[in-house]
Amino acid sequence: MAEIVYDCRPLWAVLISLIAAGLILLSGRHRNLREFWTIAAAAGKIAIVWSMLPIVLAGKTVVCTPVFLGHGLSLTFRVDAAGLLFAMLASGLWLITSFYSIGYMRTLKEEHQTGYFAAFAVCLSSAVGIALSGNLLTFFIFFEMLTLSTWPLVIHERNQEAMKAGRQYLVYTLVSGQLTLAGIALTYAVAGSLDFVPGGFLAGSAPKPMLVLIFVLLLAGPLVKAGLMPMHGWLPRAMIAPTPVSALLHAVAVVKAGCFGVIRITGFVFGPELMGELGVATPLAVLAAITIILASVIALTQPNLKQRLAYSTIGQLSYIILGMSLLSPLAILGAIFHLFAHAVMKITLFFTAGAIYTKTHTLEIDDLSGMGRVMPLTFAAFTLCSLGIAGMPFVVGFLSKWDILLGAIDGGNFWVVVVLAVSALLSVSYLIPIPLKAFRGATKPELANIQGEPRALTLVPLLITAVLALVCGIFPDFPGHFYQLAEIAVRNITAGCY
Amino acid sequence: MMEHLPVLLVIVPLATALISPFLSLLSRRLSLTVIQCAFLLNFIQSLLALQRVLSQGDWHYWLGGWNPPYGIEFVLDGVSAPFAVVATGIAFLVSLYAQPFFRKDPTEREPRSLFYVLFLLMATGVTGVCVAGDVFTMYVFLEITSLSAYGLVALGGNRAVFAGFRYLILGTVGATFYLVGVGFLFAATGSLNIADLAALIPNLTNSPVVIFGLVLILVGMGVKSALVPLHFWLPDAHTQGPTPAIAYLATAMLKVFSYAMFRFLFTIFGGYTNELASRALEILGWLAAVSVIYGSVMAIAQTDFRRMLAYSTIAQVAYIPLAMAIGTPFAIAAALLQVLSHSMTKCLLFMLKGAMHVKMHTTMIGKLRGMGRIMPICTAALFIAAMSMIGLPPASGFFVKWQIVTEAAGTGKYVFIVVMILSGLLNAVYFFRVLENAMFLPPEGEAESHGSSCRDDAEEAAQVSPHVESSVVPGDPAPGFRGELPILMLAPIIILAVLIIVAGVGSGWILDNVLNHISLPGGGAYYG
Amino acid sequence: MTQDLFFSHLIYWVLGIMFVVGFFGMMLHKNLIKKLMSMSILQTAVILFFLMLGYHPEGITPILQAGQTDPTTYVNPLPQALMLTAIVVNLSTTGVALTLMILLRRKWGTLDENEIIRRMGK
Repeated sequence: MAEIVYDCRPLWAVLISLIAAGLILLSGRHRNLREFWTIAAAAGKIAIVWSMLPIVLAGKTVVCTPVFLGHGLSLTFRVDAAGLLFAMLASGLWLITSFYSIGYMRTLKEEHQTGYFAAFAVCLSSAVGIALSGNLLTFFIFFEMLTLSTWPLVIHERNQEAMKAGRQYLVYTLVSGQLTLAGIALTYAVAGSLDFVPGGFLAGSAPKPMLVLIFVLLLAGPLVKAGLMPMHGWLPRAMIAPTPVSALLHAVAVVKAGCFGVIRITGFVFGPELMGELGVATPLAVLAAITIILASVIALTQPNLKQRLAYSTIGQLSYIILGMSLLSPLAILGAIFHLFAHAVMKITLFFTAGAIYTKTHTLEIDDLSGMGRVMPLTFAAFTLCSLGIAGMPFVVGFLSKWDILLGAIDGGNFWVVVVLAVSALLSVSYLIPIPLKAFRGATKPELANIQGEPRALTLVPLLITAVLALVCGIFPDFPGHFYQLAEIAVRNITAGCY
Repeated sequence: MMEHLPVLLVIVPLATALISPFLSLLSRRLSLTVIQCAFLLNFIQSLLALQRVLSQGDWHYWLGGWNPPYGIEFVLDGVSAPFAVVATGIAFLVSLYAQPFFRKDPTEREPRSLFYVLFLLMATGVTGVCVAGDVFTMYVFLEITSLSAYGLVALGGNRAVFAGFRYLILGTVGATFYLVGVGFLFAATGSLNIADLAALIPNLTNSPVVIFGLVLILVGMGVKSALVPLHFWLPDAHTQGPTPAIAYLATAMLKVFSYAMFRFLFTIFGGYTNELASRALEILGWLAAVSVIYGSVMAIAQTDFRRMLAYSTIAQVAYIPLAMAIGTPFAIAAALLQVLSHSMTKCLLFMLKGAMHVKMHTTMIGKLRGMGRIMPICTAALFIAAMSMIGLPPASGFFVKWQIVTEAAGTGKYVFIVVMILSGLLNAVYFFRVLENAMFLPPEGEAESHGSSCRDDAEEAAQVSPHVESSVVPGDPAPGFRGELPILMLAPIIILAVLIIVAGVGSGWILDNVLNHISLPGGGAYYG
Repeated sequence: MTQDLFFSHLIYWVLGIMFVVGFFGMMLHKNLIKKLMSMSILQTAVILFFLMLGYHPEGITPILQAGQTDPTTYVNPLPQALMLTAIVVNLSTTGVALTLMILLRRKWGTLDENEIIRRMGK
C-alpha cells in the first residue's frame, strides 16, 4: 500500500472556488473586482493542486477527511495519480478558460455575467471535488453539485430553446444520477465500504447478477455525462450555451467528470479482473465502439461548427470508455492519458470556435469560408488540433490513441484496430475541410468587412492550449508529468502487471 | 429549576398563552416581546433537556412526585428530546417571522393576539406530546395541538374557515379513533403508562382486543398525519391557512402524529421483535410509499405554489413512516433527521410563500417570473430549499435520502429505494419548474430577448462609458439587498437556508452525537 | 350461546351502534349542524365505553371507607378521572366547531356543505 500523507490541501482546493463563487455573487456590481476573484481563485487552485504533484509522483497518497457523514462514512479526499491528473487538468484549464471567458463575454456584451462566473466557479469546485474524492459517496456529492451548477450555464441565454435544453440536461443527468445513488447504496450494502481501492474492492462480495446490477446502476450517471450513445441526447442540445461554457462542458468539467467517473468505477470499484469475470467489459466496449463510429458519421452531417464539435466530443470521449473496458494495462493507460490529451485539443477547438464567433457572429461552416485568411493564427490552431484529434503523430492525441491501439492488440481485440482506423479517417474528413475552406474558399460578401484576429484575451488562451497540444505530443511529461501520472495510476489499478 | 425542566417545557408556552391576551390589553408591544421571549426560552429549555438526555440517558420525571404507573410521568429520551428541539426551534423562528408578516400582508388582517395565543397553545401541545409518558396524556396534548390548529387554519379568511371546519371534523374522528384504541389497550392491560404498557403488551398481541386497539390508534394517527388514503383534509387546510401558522403546522406539528405512531409501534409494541407490530409496520411502509408517490405526483399537477407545497408535505411527511418501516435504529435516526430536515425546509418554503405574497401579491407558479430580481436573497433561499426537497447534496435532504436508501438496501427492502429515488425525481420536476420561473425568467411584460437583470444593464452602461467602470453605478434601479423584506422576516429565512446546508454537511455529526441515543426493543441500538 | 354473548355485552353493542351512527353521521351528513351532533354522539359513545371499562356490577363508589380494603369492591376510578378530561376536550372541540360554524353562516348564509362549496366556487 502506498504511503499516506495527511494534509488538508485537497479540501482547500475544493473550497477556494466555492468561496470565490460567493465573493463573485456579492461583488456583482464591480466588474473588475468580480473578475479578479475568478482569476485569483483559479490561480490559487492551480497552486494548491499542483503543489501536491511531487508527493504523488513519489508514490504517496494525500488523504484528508474533513467531515464525517454518519454510518461510518465520511467526506474523504484521497489524492492519487489518476485523481491528481484530472484535478490538475481541470484547475489548469480553468485559469485559461477564465481569461478567455472574460474576453468572450465582454466582447459580446453578454448578460447575466455575475451568475455565469459564479456558476463557473462552483462547477470547477465540483470537478476538482470529483477528481480528489476518496470514496463513492464523496464522488456522488460533487457529481450532483456539478449537475446543478452546470444547469444555469446551459440556460444562460434564457430563451425558450435554452430553457428546453436545460430541462433536457436536467432530465438526463438527474435521472441517471439517482440511479447511481441507488447503485452506491447497494454497493455499500454488499461491500460495507465505499472507499476507492486501486484494482477494485467488490470482488466476491455478492452473487454475480447483483454485481452486474450494481455495475449498470453505478455507471448510469457517469456514462450519461460522458455522452455514451444512446444517452448522448443532451450534449448537442446543450450547445446553445455560450462557447466558453461549451468548452468547459466538453473539455474540462462535465463530460470529463463523466469519463473520470467511468475510470473510477471500472478501475477502483470493480477492477479489470472482476469486470472480465462478470462479462460486462465486452458489451461496454462494443457500445463505446459503436458510439465512436456513429458520432463521427453524424458529425459529418452537421453544418454548424459547434454541433460538429459536439458530436466529435461524443466520439472522442468513448475512446476513454473503450480503453477502460479493454482491460489491458496499455489500453487503460491510453484511456487515462486521453483524459488530458482530448481536453487540451478540444478546448482549443472550442476556443477557436468562440473566437471566430466573436468576430463573425455565425458558426455555420459554409459562412466561414475565407475566414482563415483573416484570422490565420486562429485557424492554424484549429488545424493543428483537428489533426491531433484525428491522431496525427507529434500531437498529443496520437499518444493516447496509440496506447489504446497497442492495448487492444495486447488483449487480442483486433476489431478495435479497425474501429480506431475508421474513426481516424472520419475525424479527418469532418474536421479538416473546415480549415481548408477557411484558408482557400471565397469570402462571403456579407463577412468581407471583418478584419484581423480576435481580441487578445480570447486569442492568447487558444494559442497557449494549441502550443501545449503540440509540445505534449513530443514531450508528454512537459507541464505536469501527466503521462507519468497516468502510468502510476495504471500500475496501481493493475497491481504491477504493467 | 433544572430538575423540573420536562414540565417547564410545557408550562412556559402554556402560561404565556394565558397571560398574553391580558398583556396585550396593556401594551401590544410588551405582549409580543413576552411571547417571543417565551419561545426563545422554550427553545433553550429543550436544548438543555437534550443536553442532559445525551449526557445522562433517559429522563423520567414524575409529576407531583407520584411514581408511575399511578402518577403522571414525563419522559424525555433519545427520540423525544431531539424532536422537542426541532419543534421549539421552528416555533421560535416562526414567531419572529409572524410579527412583520401580519403587519405587511395586505389580506391577512386577523387579530394578531388571537393568532399568538393559538400558536402558543399549539406549541404547548407539541412539546407536551414529546414529554408525555402515558398514552392518555399524549391524547390530551394531541388534542390541544389539533384544536389550536383548527383555529389557526380558520384564521386565514373566509375560505379558510370552511377548510378549518373540515379539518376539525376529520381530526376529531382521528382523535376519537385514537381514544377508543387507547380504551382497548386499557381494557386489555389496565394500564396507560407507556413503560408499563411496553412490559405488558408484547405478551398479549394475540388478543383481538389489542389488535383492534392498535389498528384504531394507527388509523387515528394516520388521519392526523395525512397518510394516503386519509389525507383529504390537508391540501385545503394548508392552502388556506395563514402563512406563519402553516409554516409550523406543516412542519413540527404534523410530525407529532408520526411520533405518536413511533411510540406505539416501537416503544409499546416492540417493533420488529413482535409479529403484530412487524405486520403493522409493513402495511404502514406500503401506505407511506403510496403517499410519497401520490403526494409528489399531485404536486406536479398544481399551478399554485401553496397547493404544490401542501401536496409535497403529504409526500415528505410520509418519509418518516417509510423509514420507520425499515425499522433499524439507524433508519429511526434517519427519520428523526427527516423531521429536522423537512421541518426546516418546509418552514422555509412557507416563509418564502409568505414573502411572495407580501412582495409579489401572487403565489401562482407561472407569475413568479422575475422573483430573482425583486428578492435575490429569497430566491437563493428558494434554491437551497428546492435542493433539500429534491435531495441534492449538500443540502440536508440529500443526507436523509441517502440514509434511508442505504438502510433500505442493507435490509433488502429494495422497493423503498425505488420509491425514494422516484420521489426525488418527481420533486425535481415540480421544483425546477418553480426555479426556472423564479430565478431565470425576466418579469412578465418584458420581451424575452431583452430579459436581463438590472445589474447587467448597468454593465452595459459601464461598457459604453469606461469611467463608470468598476464602481457602483449611480441611480441603479435594482432594488438592493436592503429593502427586500423587513429584517425580522428575512432573518428566519436566512437562518433556515444556512441551517439546511449546515445540517446537511453536519448530518454525520448529528447522527453520531445527537441521534445515537435511540434504543429500540430487542436490543437494537445505534450501529446495531 | 350467541344470545348469551349478545346480552352479556349488551351495553357494548349499544355503544358500538352509537359509535357507528356518529361516525357515519359525521362523514355523510351534508348539514354542518348535523355533522356536529353526530360528532357529539360519537364522543359520548367513547366516554361511555371508557366508563364501562371501569364498571363492575357490585362496585361501590371509590371512596375509601372503613373496613373496605379489598380493591375489587370498588368501581375503578381511573376511567372516570380520564373521562373528566375527555369531556373537557370534547367540550372545547364543540366550542371551536360552533365558532367556525357561526363564521361560516355569517359569510355564506347557509350551513349546507354542498351549498357552501358552490358559493365558494363563485
